[in-house]
Amino acid sequence: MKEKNHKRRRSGPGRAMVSAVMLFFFLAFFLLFLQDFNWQSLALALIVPVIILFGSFGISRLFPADTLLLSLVNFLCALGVLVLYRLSPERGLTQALNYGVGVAAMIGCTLLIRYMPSFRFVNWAFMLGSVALLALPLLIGTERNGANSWITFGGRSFQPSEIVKIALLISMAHMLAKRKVILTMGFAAVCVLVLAVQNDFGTALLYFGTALVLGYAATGSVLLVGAGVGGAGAAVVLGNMIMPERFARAMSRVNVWLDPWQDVQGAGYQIVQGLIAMANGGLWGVGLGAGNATVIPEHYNDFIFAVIVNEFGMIFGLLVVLMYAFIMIRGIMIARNARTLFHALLATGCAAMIALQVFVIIGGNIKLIPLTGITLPFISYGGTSLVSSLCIIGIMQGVAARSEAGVNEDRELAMQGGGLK
Amino acid sequence: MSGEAYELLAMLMRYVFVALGVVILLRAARQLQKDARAHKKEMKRLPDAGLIGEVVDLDTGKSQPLPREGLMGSGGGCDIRLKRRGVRRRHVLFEFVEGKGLKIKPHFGSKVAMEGVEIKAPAYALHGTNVTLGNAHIRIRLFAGLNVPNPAAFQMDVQPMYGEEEMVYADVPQPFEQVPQAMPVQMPVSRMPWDDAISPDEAVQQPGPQMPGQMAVPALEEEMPEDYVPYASPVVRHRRSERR
Amino acid sequence: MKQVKNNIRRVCIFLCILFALLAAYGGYSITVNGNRWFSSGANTFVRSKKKDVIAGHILDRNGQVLAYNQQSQTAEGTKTTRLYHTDPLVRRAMVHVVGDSQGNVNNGVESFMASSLYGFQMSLVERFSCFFRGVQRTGDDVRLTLDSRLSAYASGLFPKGKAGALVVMNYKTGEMLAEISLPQYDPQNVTAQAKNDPQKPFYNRAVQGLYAPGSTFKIVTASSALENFTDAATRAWQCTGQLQVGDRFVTDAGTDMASGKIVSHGQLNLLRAFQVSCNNTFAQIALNLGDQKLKRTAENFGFNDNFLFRDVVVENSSYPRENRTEREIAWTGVGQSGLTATPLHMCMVASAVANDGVMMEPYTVMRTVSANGIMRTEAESRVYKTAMKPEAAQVLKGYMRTVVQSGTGTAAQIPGVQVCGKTGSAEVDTQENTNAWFVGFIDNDAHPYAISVVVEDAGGGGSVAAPIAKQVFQWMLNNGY
Repeated sequence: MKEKNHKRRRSGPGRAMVSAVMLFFFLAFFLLFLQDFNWQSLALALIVPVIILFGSFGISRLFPADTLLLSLVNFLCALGVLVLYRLSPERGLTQALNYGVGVAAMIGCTLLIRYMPSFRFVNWAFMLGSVALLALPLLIGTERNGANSWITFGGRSFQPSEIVKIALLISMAHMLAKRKVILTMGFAAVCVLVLAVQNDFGTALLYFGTALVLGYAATGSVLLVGAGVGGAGAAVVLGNMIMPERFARAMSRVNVWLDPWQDVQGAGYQIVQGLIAMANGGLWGVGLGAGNATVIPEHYNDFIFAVIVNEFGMIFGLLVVLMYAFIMIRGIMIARNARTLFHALLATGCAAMIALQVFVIIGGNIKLIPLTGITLPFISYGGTSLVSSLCIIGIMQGVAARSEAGVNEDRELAMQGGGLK
Repeated sequence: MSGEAYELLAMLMRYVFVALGVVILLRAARQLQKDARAHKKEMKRLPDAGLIGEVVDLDTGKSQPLPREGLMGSGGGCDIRLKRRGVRRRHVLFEFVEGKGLKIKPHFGSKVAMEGVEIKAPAYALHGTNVTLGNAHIRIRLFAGLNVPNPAAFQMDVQPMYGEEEMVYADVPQPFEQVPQAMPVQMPVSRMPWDDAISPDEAVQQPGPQMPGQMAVPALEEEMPEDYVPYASPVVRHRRSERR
Repeated sequence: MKQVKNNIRRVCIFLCILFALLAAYGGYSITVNGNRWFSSGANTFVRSKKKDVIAGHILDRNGQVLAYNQQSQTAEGTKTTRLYHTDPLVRRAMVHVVGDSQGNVNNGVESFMASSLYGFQMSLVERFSCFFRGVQRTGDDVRLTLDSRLSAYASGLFPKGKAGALVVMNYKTGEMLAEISLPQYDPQNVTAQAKNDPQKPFYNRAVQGLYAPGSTFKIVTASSALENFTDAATRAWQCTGQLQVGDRFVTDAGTDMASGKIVSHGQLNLLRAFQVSCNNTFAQIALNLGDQKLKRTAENFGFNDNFLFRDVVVENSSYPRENRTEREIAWTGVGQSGLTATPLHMCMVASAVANDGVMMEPYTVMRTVSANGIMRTEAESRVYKTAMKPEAAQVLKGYMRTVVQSGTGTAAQIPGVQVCGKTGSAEVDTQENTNAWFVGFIDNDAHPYAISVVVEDAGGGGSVAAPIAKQVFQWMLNNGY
C-alpha cells in the first residue's frame, strides 16, 4: 500500500484543458457544417474531439507519454487539419491520415529513446545515412519553389531533410555528449552546405541554428557560436565568388524582404498577400470560413500562419505562438531533468529545433526576417513534415520517460535504504 | 446558410475560439508550473536522485555529490569542484558505466593518479578508490545497489594502496549499522529546532569550528544546486524514508 | 552536467527571447501597419466585400459632399455608382486627396479609409441589428479637415500647364486645410489622356513628390548653425560669389562662371545671408558644421525618418547618408545634392519654426461618423517631434520675417499680418528652369497657418511661388480663417 503511494502518479493535463480542446474543434467543425451543410464537416465535428480525447488520455496508456506535451501537440495538429479542411477538404483529410502515421512514428521514437541503451554503434550509420539522404536530391531530386530538395518516390514526393532531422539530432547529441565538438560541428556544416547547394535555405538555416544552440549547450563556449557565425559568413562570401548568379537570387529574396511593396504583383506578391491577409484579420480575425486567404500562394504550407491570423485574428495567432513556446519550455524542462548528458542534449536539440523552425517561418510570414520556405511544425500541410515534427516530440517524450524511470529506480533504492556501499 | 448570417455567426464564434485558446493556455501554464514544483519536491524527497555516490575531499574532509557524468576541476561549472593548486579548470571527465564503474578520463594534459598510479588513458574507479587530481586528493564513494563489480573481487590495473580494514567495508551491501565512517573528522553536533529527524549521533558533520545554532552547510555552498540537500549518513535517510 | 544544465537554461532564455520577438513584432506590425496593408490596392478582400455595403460619404470640413453613392434601377437590379462633388473644378482639386473609385491614386481617402467607408469598423452589434432589420449595411462617413473651396481656388493660381503642389496646414494643431497636386484629372471621367499624360496626373505630388528643397532647406542649415555655433548670429562671413571647394565652385544665383559674371554679397552675417539667400555663406556654414552635425539637425526635422502618420501616407525625406565629398556637403547646405523632401514635409519644417520648434503631426481626417450618426473616431492633434529649441525658433522666425519684408520673398507680403517665409529655386538637371519653392506661415495666433508651394520648372521662388502663397493667405483671411 505504502509503495503504491510512493509511486508518483503521472500527472496529466486537467480535464478542463482537454475538454476545452475538444469543445474548440467540435464548435469549429460544426461552424463549417453550418456554412454549406456538408455532412462530412458534421462527421468531423464528432470524430475529431473523440480522437483528441484518445490522443490526450488513451494514448498515454500505450506508451510512456508526457500528456501535457501530447495535448498541446494534438491541439496544433487538429488546428492544422481544421484550417486545411476549411481551405480544401481533400488536404484536410490527407493531413488527418498523415497525423495517424505521425502518431505511430512518435510512439516508435519514444520507445527507441526509452529503451535504446546507447547509440554508440549506430552513430556512424546515422551520420553517413544522413549525408547520403540529404545529397540524394542532387542526383534524383525534383525542384519545387526553387528548392531542389525533394525526392519523388512512387508518385509521392517527400523531403529527405525532414527525416534527416531526427538522425541529425541523435548523432549530434551523442557526439557532443562524448565531447567530440569539432567532429559534430564538421558534420553539421556538411549537412548545412548540402542543403544550401540545393537552395533549401530555410532548412539550412534551421540546421545551422540547431547545431549552434546544441554546440553552445554542450560547451558553453561563446567562441564556438562566434566561429559558427563567422564560418557561415565566410561560406556566403565564398559562395558569392563561386556561384554569383545563385547568390544574386538569394540576395533578391533579401531585397523582397526589405521592401516587398516595390513589386506587389511580382516578386513581393506572396509576402504582400500574406501581410494583407493578416491585416484583413486584424486582432480578432474575420471569422472561420469567412476569409479569402486562398489568394496567397502556398497558403496551405509556408503561409498557414497568415491564414490562421486571417480567420482567427492576431490575438489567436499569438496564442498559437505561445503554445509553441510552451512546447519548447516543456522540452527544456525535460532536458534539465534528464539523467545523462546525451539525453539532456537530445531534448534540448528537439526543443531548439521546434522553436527555431517556428521562428524562421512565422518570422518570415510577418516580415521579421527574410522569408524562407519551411513548414510550420504540426500545422502546415505535408506528410513528411508532420511525421518528423511528431517524431521530435516522440524523442522528447522518450527522454522524459527515461528520466522518470531513473527517478523511479532512485525511489526504490531509497526505499531499500539506499546509501553508500 | 446565407453568407451574411454565416459571417455574423463566424464573427461571433471567433471570440469563443480565442477564449477557449486562452483557457487551454492557462491550463497548460498551470500544468507546467505544477510539474516543475512537483519535480522540485520530488528531488527534495530524493536528495540523491540522479546521483551515484559522493566524492570525499580527503584534504578538507568535505564531500560533494557525484552525478552520473560530468566534469571535475576548479572551474565554476564543474560538477565536482576542487579549488586547489594543480587542478585545472576542466581536469577530468567522468561517466558512470553500468557493470564497470566510474570511468575517469583525464582531460588532455591533466595530471591524474588513481591509487597513486598516474593514468593517461581512461580508467574505472570503484567504491573507495582514491584519486589524485593535481594536488587534490579525493575518494570516490558509490551507492549500494549500483551495478558495479565488487572492488575486492575485481582486479584493477592500478595497485590498491588502502589497507585491509577499508577493503572490508567495501564489499558490503549490508545493513546500515556497519556503514563505514569515511569522514575523517566527527564533530559534536549542533541541533536545530526544525531538524528533529536527525539525532546528533546520526548526522554527519562538517569539520572545522562551528558556531552553535549554525546550520551544517555543505562545502562550496555558493555552487550547490538549490535542490541539493547535504549528504547525511545513509542511516538517517533510511529512517526518513520509513517515516514517510 | 551542471554546466550543461546551466547552458540549457541560457538556451531556453534565448529561445524565449525569439518567441517574444515574434509576438512583439507580430502585434506591433499589425497595429501600426495594419491599416496601411488593409487599404493597399492589392487587397482583394475589400473589393470582394464592396458589393455588400453601401459606401459612406466623404465630406470636407464645411460639410460639402465630396463623394457619395447613387443607386439606379437597371435591368439587373440596383446598381450603385460612386459620384464625386458636383462642381468639376472642386472634384478635380480634391482628386488626389479623395482618390477615385478605380484606385488610380495611391492612398486616397477612398482606399486608405476603406475600412471606415465600407463598414469594417462596424461593431458586431450594429451588424446584427442591420441583419435582423434586413437593411443593407452602410459604411461610415468620413469628414476631412480640408477645405474644398480653398483647394479649388488655390488650384487656379498655378501658372497654366505647370505641375506642382501646395499644402496648407494649421501649425498649432497639424490639421491640413489644403493639399493639392497639379496636374489634376476628373475622377468621374478618367480619360485615356489622363492615363497617358507624361506629367502623370495620378501622382500626388504633395506627399509623393520628392523634390530637392533648394534654398528652403537653409532654414534647417540656419537652425543647425544656431544650435552649434555660439556666435552664430554675429559671426561674419565673406561671400565672393564663388566658393571653391575642391576643384569646383559653389555659385550664387545670377553668377555665371562662363561669362565671368559674378554676383557677390561681400561681408555679411547670418541674418543678411538668410535674407538674400546667399549660397556661398550657407555652403561655408555647412562645411564648418560638418556632415554629421548638419545631418543630426536635419534628422531632428524629420529627414531620414520613417513617417507613419495616422492618415497621411508620405514618402520619406532623405538626407544622404554616407561617403560624401566636401563639395557635396557644401551643396547640401543650400538644399541640393541628394537631399529630397516632399512639399508636405517642407510645410512641416515651416510649421516647426512657427510653432516654437514643435512639429505637429499632419492629419486630414477630422472624424468618422457612422450611418446612424454616432461619432466613431475624432482626430486630436499630436506632436510629431520637437525640431529645435524655442529660442532658436524665435530667431529663425525673425529671419524669415525679414525675408518677406525686405528679402527674396517680398511678393508674399500681406498688409496687416506678419507673413514669414523662405523662397527657394532648386535646380533640376533635366529641366530648363528651376523649381520654384516658397514655404512660410502667418505669424499670428489667430491665423496659425503654414504653407508650402512648389511649381515645377517655373523659375525663381520669389517671383512664381511667393505670389501664390500670398493669394492663398489673402483668400483665407478674407474667408474667415
